[in-house]
Amino acid sequence: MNIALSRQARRAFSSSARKFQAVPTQKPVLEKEFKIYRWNPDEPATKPTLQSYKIDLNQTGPMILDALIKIKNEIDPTLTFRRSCREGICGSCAMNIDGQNTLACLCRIDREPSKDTKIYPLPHMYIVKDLVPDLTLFYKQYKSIEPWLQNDNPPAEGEFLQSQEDRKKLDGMYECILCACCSTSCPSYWWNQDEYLGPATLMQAYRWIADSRDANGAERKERLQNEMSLYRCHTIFNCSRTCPKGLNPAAAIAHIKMELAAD
Amino acid sequence: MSTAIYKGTVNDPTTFPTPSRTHGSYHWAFERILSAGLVPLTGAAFVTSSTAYPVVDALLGVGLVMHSHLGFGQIVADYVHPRKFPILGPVATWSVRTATVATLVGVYQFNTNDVGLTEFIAKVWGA
Repeated sequence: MNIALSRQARRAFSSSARKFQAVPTQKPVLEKEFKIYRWNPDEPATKPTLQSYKIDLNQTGPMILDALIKIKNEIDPTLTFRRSCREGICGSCAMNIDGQNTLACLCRIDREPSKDTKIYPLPHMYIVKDLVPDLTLFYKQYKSIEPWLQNDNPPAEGEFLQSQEDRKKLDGMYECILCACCSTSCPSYWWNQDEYLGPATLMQAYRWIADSRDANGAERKERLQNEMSLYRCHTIFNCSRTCPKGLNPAAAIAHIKMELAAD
Repeated sequence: MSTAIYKGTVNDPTTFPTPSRTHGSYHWAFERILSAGLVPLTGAAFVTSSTAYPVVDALLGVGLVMHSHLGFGQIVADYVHPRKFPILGPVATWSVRTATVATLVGVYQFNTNDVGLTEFIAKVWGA
């Protein structure tokens, strides 16, 4: 090993002279078209349109959210969408990508350049702007099932204890991030969302019915005893198919139906 | 926020209809039991002769019509619910009820005065 190289090795490559001499490997341009739903509330008379954007995939991150951020940064700063964590835990970037409700941050870009990718907001929701749906009713419904622990007889000392089996019942339900992908994929929720709770809210309703520490299960179940809140579910299974977290709301709804029937 | 879309403020939870097991779990359980019961009943109609077992014909006639009535009732509740369609909803509901009663009467007449359901289907099958 010669002296020059060992001196070089003491320095980080990023600050070395070589870095500035190096020519970066040129990647070929891989242009892909994205067609994105646009609607501006400031011009309510203008109908929603699909706007086309072309970006170089080789200068973009791997996910749809990376493409959206690139378009917003470099091409069109008026493009509006929600995003926060970019790792599938906040549920902000739920949208309809190539016909499937999913999180933009968990959805890989299809690298086939001859096919465009269409991005719409979550279906059958009121739109605030572009890809931003109004989730107010969704949150109001979530609030209606009282999603917190209700028990008037806490243990005299310490905390509520739970067996491992009872804890297991909550797996696959507590992970829900309320991104609304499942509810907005459900035809029953499209037609009757003013009265039908939808898969996301119903799975959370069952998350509290199934919790061994909760003492209000009877009342929670009684509230669902009507034609609309629960029984508009016709086991279509779009909810379980689309869930970006791989959860199964349809199974939770089936459990509620069985428990109500056995009640 | 426009007033027509949400009931109450954005911070109020949505409300539930008055609980009714007749419209809730009893309705659901009856639908499932009826659907499941129709499977062996259809099988029984296949292997027996309706002239020897008119009761199978009668049960099948009532069961199938009830099953259809509940099915059409779900369609009405899904697509033309009276809360959204104050005229078309009740019209649809009563059309289903009228059709159900008319079919029940027709099936009764057919089973008592003619060959009966099972025999008829066997004949059409053979023709």
